[in-house]
Parts: sequence; structure tokens; C-alpha cells
Amino acid sequence: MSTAVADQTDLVNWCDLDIRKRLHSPKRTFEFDVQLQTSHPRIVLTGPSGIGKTMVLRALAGLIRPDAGHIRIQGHTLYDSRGRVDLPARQRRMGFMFQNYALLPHLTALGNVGFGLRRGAWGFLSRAQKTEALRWLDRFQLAHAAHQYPHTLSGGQQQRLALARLAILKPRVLLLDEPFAALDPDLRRAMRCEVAALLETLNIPLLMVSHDEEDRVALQAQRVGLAQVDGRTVRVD
Amino acid sequence: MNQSDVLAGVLTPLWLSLKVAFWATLLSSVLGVALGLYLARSRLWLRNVLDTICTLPMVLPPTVLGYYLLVAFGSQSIMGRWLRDTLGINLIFSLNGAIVAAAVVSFPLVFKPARAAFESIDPQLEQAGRVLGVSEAGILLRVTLPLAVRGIMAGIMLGFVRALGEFGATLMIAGSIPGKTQTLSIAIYEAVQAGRDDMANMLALVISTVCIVLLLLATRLTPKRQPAPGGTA
Repeated sequence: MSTAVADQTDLVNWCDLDIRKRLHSPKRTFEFDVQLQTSHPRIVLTGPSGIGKTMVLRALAGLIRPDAGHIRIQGHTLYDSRGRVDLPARQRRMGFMFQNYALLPHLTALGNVGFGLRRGAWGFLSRAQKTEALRWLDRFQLAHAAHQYPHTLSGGQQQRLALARLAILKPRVLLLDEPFAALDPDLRRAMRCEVAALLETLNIPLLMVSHDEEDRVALQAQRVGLAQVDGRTVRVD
Repeated sequence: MNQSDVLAGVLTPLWLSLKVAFWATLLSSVLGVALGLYLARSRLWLRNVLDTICTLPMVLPPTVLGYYLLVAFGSQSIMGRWLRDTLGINLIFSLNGAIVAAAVVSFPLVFKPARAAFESIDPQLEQAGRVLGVSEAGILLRVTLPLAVRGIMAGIMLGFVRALGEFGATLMIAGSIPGKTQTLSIAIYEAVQAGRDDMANMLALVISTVCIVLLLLATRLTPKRQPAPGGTA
């Protein structure tokens, strides 16, 4: 794993964020002002809950729009308030895994993995695409469950399915939102290895929200802390 | 009166009723699902006003609805004249009028469950589709509609049954012309008025059977409790 981290030298300044956003609610005003530039291939975002860590991931994925600033990943500008760039989520190729996985309940494991693949005129997967989908299911030990629906899978299987669904699309970065918090300790260790192996295979960086110092150590990640200072969420280290 | 007369007396209005209910349901389904989707997404303050107006046919007396339709589409009205002159459609005392009347009364029954079905969808599932690179049209066809389809179908079934049994508004706008606008429910009324009890019995039996079968179908299609998409974790 350590060699893999060292190998990823093409990731110089892969992440260049300047996210400024102000949210108003009847009770309070929430201000967010975070800058992050890094070449470290694995980043763990930490900080007290409710501070907007998830918002960073959602801004990268294109699910919320900052008021100002820019988001550049691997040299691609996804958002720039000055250049008036704001790519829609579907063009960003961000490997964003939702905290509850957001698997589609009406589709089988195979249908979920193949969901993001570009369809032919009739909306079906080609034979090659199906083979590719099965290959990724197999990679995450889900080949036997290809025709099962998500609710019949265990929590660990669901998470692996969510990872497979992202991995098949070769995303530019993996964005995980407290992925291991809901798993039991054994499973947590197994999934950390799974994620590390996936990053190595795809050769992409990781940006992850986590409270668990063990996650950071196991994945050899750089810690980026967020905190509230004078009512604003800013980066502290 | 011989048996073939009774048979014809039942089959003609039954066929008319089914025809009216089919086109009316098609009309209210397309408009109801579209409006349901729009209102489920809309943040417009007007949306609750719109919702109330669209629910009115459920609570207003059918005669009032029929009267409104007469006023709106009568030969004196702007809309009625426009329909007649540009599209060649006349709604008064015609099958088209019966279809519009049935569509109006069945509309809330389609639109309400459709809106509820769309609102019950976890927005994260649609966001997940976007993150996975799927277009908005693709998300509508492959996420939103499949997840809402049971609720929509149940509403369409109810709307169809309601359209089939429609009486008041239809009588007001389309009248009771045998073989042209005299649907089953109106034929029953006429049969009882004329003292033809055997005919009334047959008609009542037929429409009851059709409605029971359709309601059973609707119950089967009503959404069961779906497992949480996120599962245990």
C-alpha cells in the first residue's frame, strides 16, 4: 500500500478548492469559507458534526453550488465563479458515495452496477458492458448476488455494491462520506483494505469525511481539519 | 321485450361507458402525472392553491362541475367557439363532452396519488443518478417513474373506475342520447324512470361486476411497504 501511495506522483495539486457559501435559515446564518490545495493522494476531512464536511463532497459532486470560489480536480475546472464555469453533476465524473449508498431499490445488483454505463438506443446494456459489470461484481465478491435486490444484501455487501457502481465508471476521484461509521469493527477493517485496493487499481485520489483516526492511519491519508471560527467554517490544519 | 333487446340495451351503454372511461382516463393520466410531478418538485407558493383547485372535482357536486363545463365550453363561450371553429370539436351533447366530464372528475384521483408517489421518492436516489452521469431524461425514465409507478397505477385504476361511474356532470354536458352519449350509469337512471326493472337490474349487475374487478386490481397495485433503499447501514 505504501508503494502505491508513493507511485501516485502524477497527482501534483490534484485538488484545488476554494469554496465559499452562505446559507440562511431562520435560526442562524451558516458561513462556509474553505480553501484546500494538495498533492497528497489521500485526504481525510475531519471536524465537529454539523460543520459542513459533507458539503465539501457535495460541492465537488455538483449537488450544491458554492456562492463563489473554484473547484479544480486533476486539472479539470468543475466550478469557477469568475469564469462562470459550473459543470452539471453528470459531467463531473466524481466517484461520490452517499452515506446511505443510495442504491436503486428497483434494480438488481447488476442493474445498479450497470446504471451509469451509457446505454444503446433501446436502453439495454451491451454484452460487453454486462461482462464488465459482472467483472466488477466479482471483484467485490458479489458475483453470486448479481440478480439480488439491494435490500436483500447485508450492509457490507451494499457498500461494496455502491463502490462497484462508482468504480466501473472510472471516476476522477473517490469521495466517501463517513463510509465506515455504520460498520462493525471487523467489516470496517475489511472495507478499508477494499477501498485502498480500489484506489490502487484505478490510480485515483481519495477525499473522505471521517471522524475515525484509525481510518486516516490505515489509509495513510493527510488530515484536513475544519472548525468554526467566528461563526464561519474554515480550515484549521 | 325479448332477450336480444336486453342484451343490446346493456352492451351499447357498456361499450359507450368503457370508451368514455378509457379516453377520459388517458387524458387525466397524462395531465395528472405531469402535474403531480411538477407540484412534487415545485417550490412555488402557488402550488398549494393549484393543488386545491385540482382537488375540487372530488368535493364539488357533479352538477356544479357540469354547469361549469357548460359555461366554459358552451357554444356561447370563447373556449367553446374556439374549439368548434378551429378544431371542429363540439363538447355539448356529444361523446367528447362525456369524455371531458369524466376526465375532470377522475383527474384528482389520478393526480393526488401521483404527487404523493413522487414526493415519497428519496431525492438522494435521483442525485445518485446524476452523479453516475445519467441525463435528466434518463433519471425520469429510469429512477423517478419506476419508483412511482405503483402509486401512479393505483391512481389510474381508481380514476378509471370513477370515470366509468360518472353520472352528474356527464348528464349536464352530454345529455342522455341512447347510443351516443347514454352511458351505463345514465342508462340505469333512464331504465328506472321508465319502470323497466329487468333492464335496470342487468345494468346495475354489469357495472357492479366491472367496478369490483377493477377495484380488486387497484388493491393489488397499491404500493406495499418498500424496504428502505439504504438498508441496514
